[in-house]
Amino acid sequence: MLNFVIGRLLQAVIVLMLLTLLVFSLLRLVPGDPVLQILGPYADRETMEELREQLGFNQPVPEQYATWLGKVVRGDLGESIISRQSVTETLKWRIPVTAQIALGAWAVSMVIGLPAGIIAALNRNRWPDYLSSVFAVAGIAMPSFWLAIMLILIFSVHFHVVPTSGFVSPATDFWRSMRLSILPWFVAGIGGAALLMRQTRSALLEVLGQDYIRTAKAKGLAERVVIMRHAMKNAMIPVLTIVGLGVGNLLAGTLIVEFVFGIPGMGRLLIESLLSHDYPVIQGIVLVVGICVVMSTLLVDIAYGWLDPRIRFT
Amino acid sequence: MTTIEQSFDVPTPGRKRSAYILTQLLRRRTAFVGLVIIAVVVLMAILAPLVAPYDPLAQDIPASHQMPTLSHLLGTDELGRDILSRIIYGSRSSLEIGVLAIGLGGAVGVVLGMVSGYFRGIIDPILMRIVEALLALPGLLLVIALATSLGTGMKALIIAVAVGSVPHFARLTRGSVLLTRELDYVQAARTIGAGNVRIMLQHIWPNCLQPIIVQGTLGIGVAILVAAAASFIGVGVQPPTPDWGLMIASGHQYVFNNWWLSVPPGVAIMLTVMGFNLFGDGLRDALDPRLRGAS
Repeated sequence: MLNFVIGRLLQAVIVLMLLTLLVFSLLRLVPGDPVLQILGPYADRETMEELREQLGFNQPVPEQYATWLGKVVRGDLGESIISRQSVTETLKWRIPVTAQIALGAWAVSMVIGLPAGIIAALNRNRWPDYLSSVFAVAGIAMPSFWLAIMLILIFSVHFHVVPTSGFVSPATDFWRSMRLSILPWFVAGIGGAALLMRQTRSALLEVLGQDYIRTAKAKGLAERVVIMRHAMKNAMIPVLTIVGLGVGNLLAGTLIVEFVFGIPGMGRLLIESLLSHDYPVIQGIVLVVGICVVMSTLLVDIAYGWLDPRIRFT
Repeated sequence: MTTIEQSFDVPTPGRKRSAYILTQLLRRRTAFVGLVIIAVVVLMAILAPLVAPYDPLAQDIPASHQMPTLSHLLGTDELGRDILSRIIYGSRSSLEIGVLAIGLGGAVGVVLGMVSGYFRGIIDPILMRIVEALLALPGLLLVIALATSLGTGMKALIIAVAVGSVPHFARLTRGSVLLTRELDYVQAARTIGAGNVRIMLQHIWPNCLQPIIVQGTLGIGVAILVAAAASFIGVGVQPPTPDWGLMIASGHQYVFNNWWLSVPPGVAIMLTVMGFNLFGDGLRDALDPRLRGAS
């Protein structure tokens, strides 16, 4: 087990290094002169030189990467071109906001996806199964930003049940914060719920077809005991993987939801930075999300190896 | 996983087998619905100038923000342009991005996966770590960051979506190649002196094709969704091109009073993506003997 964990850790480190290379290249991919693109055609020579210096463009590329990486490792993600503030400092108070939305969305996807998948599997080819399949197909195909607008239209504009958009920290006003968060949570969580539902359904159906389930039923165990004690345990292994590996999609969903609901987290910052070509901020956010995903993948891998010994030896 | 089964599949003559798969496919109601949706969207894109009632770019400011009426079935937008016509023309940019990006990304990914899985050696771990690094970024994030760097617009978006799809194809192809290269008939071909290129193209490629086709179909759906999100944010297709994502973005500002600006393009995206997903799922079931007869 120790060898397995060390091997996976090494792999994760290599992937992280490649990730930094990718993030570093983002700015170097810009066709033509990135400085000109950032500042626009009317910038004066002095400002351009200053920015060139700040971005480290007057060094050779490998050296630029080394300098940049050295800073990143020490937690220095550079300075925003627009606001001149430290990217690390800015992200420090944006991340908790995004985390609040992402965690809520994660809870929504679990609360909807798991029971829906179980109900669908237990009622295979009956109406609850069809209904949840329709829900899953629509949930996956629907653009989340559009769903967000539709829900605002229905629940805020038409029925006035929740405020349209904005963000309040739960520490300031808990109930208002919850009311503002309900729609974002739902929108960011619905795609994950659909995937989770499909995965739970197929995992449970596969397990229910196994011999030991028939044996358990033949022993005269109650249906509920067979499902909860025997079937669910094994069905949950692939489901856990989906939950862990869904972190990336969950974060991506949260980023765009923040934009529509005017929530001042990483997502809105990212989109503002994309539009103003604020590359240091873009790089910082991409890196943070990438690290989150690599870490959660690592944890899932290790958990999986622990749960299922077959994985360790392949 | 599917490839294990395929390798034991009874080889039937080409035409007979494709006819069989087609029957299997059409027997599935959902796959058939998917096919019909795709056909409608493709026809809309091809016949746009014939079926669209108005020019999608023609502005008519006095007639702006009109509710759906008989002369404008889906109403007009903030510049008085006919929304139905823009929806019809909008199918072009969605399909163009979906098909071109997946074609491009699929081609590159398949070649990389093939080389990685066939030659192994030092190339394999290097390529696979790069694939993992690319997969560490959620598709949407990778695409919008790349599209911005590459200079925004349709071309940048297509390249960005293509790059985002490469790792999926590379990993899938590599997996299939790894299984196929050890099979007896491939070993036999090698024994009688077939070269690497011949073995890859003639013997391994046909056996890897099925999962790639399925991935391609489902990938187009994902590509359309991601591209719509990029255009919605403002880093994808640029105005005044009729594009569904862009239409939702511009309607967003007026949504409180003019719901008809945002509703139709979203429905169009959802139906199109659904079409590709349903068809892709059906294709997978029809191609995989294990899933035949399962729901």
